[in-house]
Amino acid sequence: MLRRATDIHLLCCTLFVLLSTSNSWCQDSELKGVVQDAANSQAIAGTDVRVENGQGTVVGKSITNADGQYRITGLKRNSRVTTYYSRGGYVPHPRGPEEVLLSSASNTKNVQLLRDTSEAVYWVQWSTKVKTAVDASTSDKGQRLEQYKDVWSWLGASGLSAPAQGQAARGFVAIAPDLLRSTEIESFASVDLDSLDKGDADIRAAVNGQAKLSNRYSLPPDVAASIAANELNKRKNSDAATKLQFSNEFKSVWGSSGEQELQFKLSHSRQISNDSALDKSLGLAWVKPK
Amino acid sequence: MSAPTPPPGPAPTATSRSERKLGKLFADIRKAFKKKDAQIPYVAVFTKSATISFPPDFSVASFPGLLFCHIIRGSTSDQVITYWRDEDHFKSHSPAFLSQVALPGQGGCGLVVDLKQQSASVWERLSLKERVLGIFALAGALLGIRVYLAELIAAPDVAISYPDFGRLDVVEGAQISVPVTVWSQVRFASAKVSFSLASMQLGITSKQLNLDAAVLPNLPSGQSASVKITGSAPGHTETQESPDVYILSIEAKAKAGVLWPSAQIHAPSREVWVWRAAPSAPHPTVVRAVGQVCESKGLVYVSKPSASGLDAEFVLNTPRDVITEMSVTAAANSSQRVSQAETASTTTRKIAFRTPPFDKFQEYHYNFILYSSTPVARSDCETWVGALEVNLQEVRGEK
Repeated sequence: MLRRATDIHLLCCTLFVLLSTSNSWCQDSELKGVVQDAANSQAIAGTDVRVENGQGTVVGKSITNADGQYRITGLKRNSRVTTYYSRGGYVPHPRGPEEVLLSSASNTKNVQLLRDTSEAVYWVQWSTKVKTAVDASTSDKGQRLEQYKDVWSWLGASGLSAPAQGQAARGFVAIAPDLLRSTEIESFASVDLDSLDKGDADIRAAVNGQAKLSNRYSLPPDVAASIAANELNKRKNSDAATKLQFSNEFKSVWGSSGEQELQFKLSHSRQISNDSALDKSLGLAWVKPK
Repeated sequence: MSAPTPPPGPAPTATSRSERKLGKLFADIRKAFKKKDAQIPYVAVFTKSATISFPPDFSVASFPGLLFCHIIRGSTSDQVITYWRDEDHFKSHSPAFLSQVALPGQGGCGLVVDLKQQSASVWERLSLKERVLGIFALAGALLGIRVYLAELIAAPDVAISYPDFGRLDVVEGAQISVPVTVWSQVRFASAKVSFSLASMQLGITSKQLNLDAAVLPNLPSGQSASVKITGSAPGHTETQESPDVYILSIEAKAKAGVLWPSAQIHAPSREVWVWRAAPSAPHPTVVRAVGQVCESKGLVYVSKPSASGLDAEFVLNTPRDVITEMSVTAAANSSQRVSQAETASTTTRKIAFRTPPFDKFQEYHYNFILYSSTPVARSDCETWVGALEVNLQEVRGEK
């Protein structure tokens, strides 16, 4: 009787050890990182972090602490997961999906978010940071211009509100006035924030079929096209036919040049970061949700 | 039906009848002399020693130019005095007159000159018709003079008002359009209204506004005119989260009578709330700190409509192990998601949920309660709620 009891005890211990070993072998990875403000590098507390596996099941979530840090444990090592970061008042909202390979026991993913604000001071900080990164990456004026445009395109795709984009454009034009002459960035900077806000609402409403498209607030064609393209790309139900129909409507308001701008933006919208050094330094390496 | 009974009293005597006739006679004489177009009458006197009387079929109208005639009964002889329009009429028709009245011949005749009479009051000199006409003429003249006088001495009784009441809400940087009604209460004259000021004031900060008509040159009596005040709302001050409360001031100068000085007029003061474009949340106010509970109330100012509601986030960083629980009570359209993260020294708590839909310019109220591990002092409570970050953001995909 005593021997039988001892055997059962030994069996239980063995099973426990085996299960524990198996558990640690399957879920022996963690994901940690810091979420910061892209303009001033301040920690952003309270950011929701969500991790999904390949099937779209949430396998871990957390929020950032006062230092902007997060840590999600119990993840499967060597698996690929997608991460989402969301914080009220910041864009991208949410930021993600961003794919992470959990190749080691401890994996780090730091991200930066931009505040959706029309505070001029904030965008001066941001544009100064961009200028520093652009100047460091190349001395060629043409390449610099392309990089500014690339960053600008990222801002539009991030879901930043039009007034914030307008303020960002002012910041860009202030730091590189010659380089950005006659570009869409300068067009954005030339429109007053109120008109941008209202024109943006009008165009978004038209894209969603809630209002007839008009140009009551005298937005330049490239600005209107940028807003419309961002909204069309954001909509899940924006198929090719919908985009074509809207392009025709857009043409009737902003003319052929406006339509061409829109078509160009729709066909060249920034879907995936090229993961350049500039993107890394600015924290732009981010996959836009489809 | 019976004829009206004559009033009782003494029957009229021959003397009184004669006096009345005489009075009427003189009245007719005066009237004849007074007529503007009348020529000076020509008078002829006929005397007869016997008693004179007009034949029964005698009529003045039978003798053209004869204005009237009468008999003067004397003790020894009677006289007939005739008044003719002029000498020509007299010469033409006096023979027939003499024949009918059986008068012997002319006693004396000539033009009436240098007539003297007692002066009579204006009213006595006027007939009833003339009096009525005179009164109306006088009234008309006074009416005309009144308008003329009003143009000279009317006081500028003009008021400025708003067609609607209450505060005016506007988003920072947005266009302001405020209709204003200018109403003239000046009587019998038009008023000129010149606007001198249209501005919004917040302390020493002032924002000038525009008027679509700075001068109303000719505001008719008792009429009103509409003026629109336009401009862009100033940016929201950085120092506070609640809307900036400006006072809208409208001043104008009004003038009516040429000789009357201009008057300064003001519209009633009106508040203009300038809201932030994005939802803004001032720190909540501590209601009480009792035992281990810290209770506060707060609100979020939402300036734009949101048909799908907003994503609300309440994030609080506090020293670690001080707060045991955080709760938010507010209208919500979803369940609350509560999460927590810690550093070595701090704890970050977050409550997130979806709010109900918003109309524009809404105040979203909430209660915020913290439960502490130790008894709470009010100062601690104020420190904690001061660190609360409330964020209301548009639902993704919605603008």
